[in-house]
Amino acid sequence: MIANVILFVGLAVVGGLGSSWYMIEKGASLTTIRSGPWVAWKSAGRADADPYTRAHFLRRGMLPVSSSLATTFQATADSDGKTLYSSCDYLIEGQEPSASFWSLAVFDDTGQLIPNPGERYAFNSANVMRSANGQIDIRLARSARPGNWLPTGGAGRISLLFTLEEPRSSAEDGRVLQLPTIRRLACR
Amino acid sequence: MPVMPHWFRHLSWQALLVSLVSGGIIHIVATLVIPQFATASGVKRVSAALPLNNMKVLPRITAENQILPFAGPDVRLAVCRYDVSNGPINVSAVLPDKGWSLGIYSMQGDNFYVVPAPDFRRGEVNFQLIPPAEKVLGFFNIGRSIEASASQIPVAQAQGLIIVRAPMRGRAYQAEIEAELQRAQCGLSSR
Repeated sequence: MIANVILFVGLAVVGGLGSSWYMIEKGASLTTIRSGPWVAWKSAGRADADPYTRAHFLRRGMLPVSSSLATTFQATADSDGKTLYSSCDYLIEGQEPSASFWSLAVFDDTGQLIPNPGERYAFNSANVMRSANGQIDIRLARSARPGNWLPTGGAGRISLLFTLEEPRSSAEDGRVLQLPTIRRLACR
Repeated sequence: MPVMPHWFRHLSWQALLVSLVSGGIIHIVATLVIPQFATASGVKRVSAALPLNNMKVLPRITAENQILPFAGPDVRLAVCRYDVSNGPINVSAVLPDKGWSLGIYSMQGDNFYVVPAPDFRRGEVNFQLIPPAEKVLGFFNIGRSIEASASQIPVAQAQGLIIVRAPMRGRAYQAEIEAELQRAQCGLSSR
């Protein structure tokens, strides 16, 4: 009898609620596309979005751009899978995406921009400095760094949003993009 | 031969079946119910400070002035909270460059209609939102209004948001972008 009750609680309650939480918070290959640490929801902001995508954005209080216009990737970990912290310095590097407009912004883990005197929260395809071979590298750090520097203040856990504006987005047609890597340089 | 744990012999296949089915039901119910506990949906957050049937250019997004979580700071928005209960709403906007778009959102945050800026030319958008009751075959949720032309969009719910979105390529463009966004309009039709 007790074994059956434990089975019920484990499978029905923990399994049912846990799998629902996982599908809403993290997503699966059915609902998301992944490239390294970057995750985008395939049907974000669309009327035909699946219930997990809908719940994901409603729960977070977000108003996503339709994935038929733009693909928004989010990263909460570096390319080695370690959580992003404001106490660490990171280098985001890679080839510039071919999108007509892209933007990379840094937030705290609740989605708020990190206050800084220069009001520097993001780089985009119009204001980023590129190297001679067309590579982009953006540094995340608490204190000023040369080049493309985004301040992370004392935010604790941080989150990156990489938005690619494309007439037909990668989320919609399921292409896997080669997005920049996120490398941890040092931690305090 | 592997030895089964003692407790395993006490499990019945009926309990296993009931647990699996119940787990599936709990999964579906939780997925549908969890959003209802969201503190404030994106639409509600944006709508809170907006006049009805009026387009308003929102201030530049900064850490001190951020309505929505994870809102990109290099985008400017003009937003209209519409309500077609009292009649159709006329909407017009200019989409001067790549990356600009106009989207219509339901109160649930679904972007059910979107117009991207056309390539290589300046786009002007003019249309009328018409109430759901004006659908000829509304009972079956198909078809268009009798008067509906190509420039009329029937909405499924009376209320929602119209958002004109402009990528901000740099602070130097701020005044120009704001001027174009100010041209966007939304208001009750006087037909």
